[in-house]
Amino acid sequence: MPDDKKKGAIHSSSEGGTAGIYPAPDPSEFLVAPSTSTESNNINLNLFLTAYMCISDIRFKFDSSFVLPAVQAEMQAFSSLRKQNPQVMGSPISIFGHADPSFQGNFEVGSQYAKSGDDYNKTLSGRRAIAIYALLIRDPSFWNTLYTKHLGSDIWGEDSIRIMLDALRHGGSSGSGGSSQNSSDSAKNSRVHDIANDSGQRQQLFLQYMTFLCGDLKLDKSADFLARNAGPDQKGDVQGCSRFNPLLLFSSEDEAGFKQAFADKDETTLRGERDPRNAVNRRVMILIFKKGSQVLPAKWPCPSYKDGTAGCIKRFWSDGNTRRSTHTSGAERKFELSADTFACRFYQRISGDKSPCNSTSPPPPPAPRPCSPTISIGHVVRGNPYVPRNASTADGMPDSIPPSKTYEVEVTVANWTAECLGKHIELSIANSSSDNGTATISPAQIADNGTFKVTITGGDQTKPGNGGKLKIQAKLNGAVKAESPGFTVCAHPIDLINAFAGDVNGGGVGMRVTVDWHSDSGTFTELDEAEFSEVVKPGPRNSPPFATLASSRQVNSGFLASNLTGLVDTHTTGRPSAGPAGSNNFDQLFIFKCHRCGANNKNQPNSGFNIIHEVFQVSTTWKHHVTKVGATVTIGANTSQPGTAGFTSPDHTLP
Amino acid sequence: MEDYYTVQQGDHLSKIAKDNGFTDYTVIWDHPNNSDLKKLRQNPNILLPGDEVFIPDMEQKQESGATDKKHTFTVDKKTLKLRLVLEDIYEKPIAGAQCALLIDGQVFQLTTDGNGKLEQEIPLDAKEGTLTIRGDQTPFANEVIPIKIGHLDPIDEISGQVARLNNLGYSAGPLDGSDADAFNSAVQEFQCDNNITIDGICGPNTQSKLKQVHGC
Repeated sequence: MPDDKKKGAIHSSSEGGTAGIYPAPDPSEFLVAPSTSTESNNINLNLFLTAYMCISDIRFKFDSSFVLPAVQAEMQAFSSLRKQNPQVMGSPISIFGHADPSFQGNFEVGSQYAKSGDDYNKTLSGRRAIAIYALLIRDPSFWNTLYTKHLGSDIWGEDSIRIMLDALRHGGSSGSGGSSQNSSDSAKNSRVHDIANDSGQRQQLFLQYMTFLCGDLKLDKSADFLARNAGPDQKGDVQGCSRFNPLLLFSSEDEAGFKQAFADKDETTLRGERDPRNAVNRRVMILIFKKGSQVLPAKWPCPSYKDGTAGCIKRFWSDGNTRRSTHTSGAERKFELSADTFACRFYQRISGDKSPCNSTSPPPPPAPRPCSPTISIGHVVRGNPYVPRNASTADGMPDSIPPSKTYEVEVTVANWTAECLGKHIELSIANSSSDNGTATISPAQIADNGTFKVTITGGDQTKPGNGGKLKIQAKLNGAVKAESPGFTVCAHPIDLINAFAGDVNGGGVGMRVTVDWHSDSGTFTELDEAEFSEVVKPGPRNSPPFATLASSRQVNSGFLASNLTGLVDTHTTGRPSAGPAGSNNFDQLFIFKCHRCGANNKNQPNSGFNIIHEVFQVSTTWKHHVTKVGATVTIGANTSQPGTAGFTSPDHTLP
Repeated sequence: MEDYYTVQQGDHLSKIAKDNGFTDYTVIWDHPNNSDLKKLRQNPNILLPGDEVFIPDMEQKQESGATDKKHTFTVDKKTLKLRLVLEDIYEKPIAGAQCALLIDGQVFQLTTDGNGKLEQEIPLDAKEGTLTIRGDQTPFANEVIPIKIGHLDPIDEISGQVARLNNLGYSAGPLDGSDADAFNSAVQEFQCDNNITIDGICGPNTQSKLKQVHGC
């Protein structure tokens, strides 16, 4: 519906304020005349609003400009309005404070009170606006000025110090001072008194409190405001609109009653009825303009927040005083219905007739958009060999992690919206058990958009037949939102280390070597469900001196448990003839299986070797020996980096 | 053949002349049959749809010459220009800005002068175009802004007042003035900015000021 579209989208709404996107204006088109003479067409490119944030009276005490702790919610809303809308982030703002029309007992324009009422409310609305400005740019000096120049029922003073200290101590529950009596009250009062009387301590407290209210929201006075801080007294950046632009005007009967109540000094009626009904009129508006907009302070119609009302009155509608007056019998007048309660023509133009902020009734709550982030969780990638971080995928290796080792896994969160504020995503390892194995995850919570690295630590090993059942799980409010692919906790054999163990010099010649290896978990006994096998491939062979081989084929030893110790391998060949000189070569590597994760015939890292038998002549004697060295070896589908070896058998005299 | 032509929205006299085979609009504008129209509208490029323009016969303006002499016919071609003065809302000129003016398929690369002014000779029958301002002087930089040539109505028409106020950034609403509040607000704002009586009525005084401030 076009009318709804004109209202834009509400970003957030609470008792303390409303934030929203103002609808884009219809695209400008310029109707011009060509010229056969000297005429031209002046085109002025307009200022327009893209978004707004309204801060309600409830975030201030009545007739005071001190900003109460609960405004933290609106600061968060403003921050997320900026973050979630590219047309708002970085767009310049201008702040407009508004007071209510009642002053003393008499509003009537032309009466003895009218001028002083306008002036008083101009100052008060300007003070509220500059208080918000100072908060947004985190400049406590403005607050210090408000503090030292008291106005009306200001609670700047010890009351405000107490509220700030309480807020900082309690993380911002209410600012009420009526806490339970206890022994620390006198110490507290003395501290409040100290701060109240020391400008330096005060400004320090202001700054802490501002940071508490704003979190990561901080604006730059020279970049984020409409006049770029170029004018005197924030002209163009901060305005007090006095009581000129009320949203609600009482019926003439009600107004007469309140006037009478004032004459009767009937504070109950004034404070209990008139002022609460007027609350909608007391507000601070943050107007956000099209990105790149900038105004010249000297040309900007509004006076600064410190100036008097003359500049405002100049911009009134020709019937401005009628518009802002209470003149309707029997019924209230509301801006959203009649659009005729603002005296200031300029403000009505720039703030937008259709803005939900220019309405006495709270805007409908934003369409219920539940917090429903999109979460994706990566694999627990098992490197081969294991590396502590960011393993690259080993081809065909099931997702798994060694016990007591860590892997980083990426968790990506998108669509973490304003509705998610105060919630968090809980990360845990699902299906942990003595059969499935156990693991832990850190951190256990995420509460933002982005890609986060979480660390998984392997715990108890998964029992054979239960591989791939552990999962990283992300929950929101107890409901599972995402899971990683399943993984296993298991130790895998790595490295192959040989040492010379003994000479062989009989029918065959060669040597025996010890065979050792490691567990990638660091604990050898954890390899109890892995098996390994050597794979040997005959290479070039000179025949004679070496006997011919029936066929050149790959030989597997058969699998042995990976947690064996004291294993010895033998590298022998049939006794070669005494000459001629020649060699007989073999390649060797090791593969493994894991009964926990199901890895099958995977290369055991660092287990490649060359075995070289040589026949050579020393003076007139023919001799043989065999050498084993680590080497990068490829046999079939497996390639292994060099294992640890580098020795030669004693020489054997031939024949 | 002589006839009266009824002005359509978007017509300006150079275009009407060209459409009827004239290169010089003054042949039409200065024709005695158009003297009332000329007096009423004053500017041949700001006509109102419905205006009747007398189109004289082409023959009449052809010069006669003795048949035994050579004659040189000079075509008196009047040029048509488009002048725009670009300012931001607070009248700061958008000066020295690179602009692309696209008119009837032809792109003109222009730079505004120190007063934000652009001037370009355009085809006699130009109808519409777009303007794109480069650089960072305006938040509207790099946006394609439609320009409708010959659509500006006379100042004594509501539509002419609204269009001028809109061009000047006063957001006066739809051309027929049907958004009375927006029109009233724009007129008052204009009057306020120009130090004339603020009454929201676009009378002769305000019209004259508006014509002057707008430039035509």
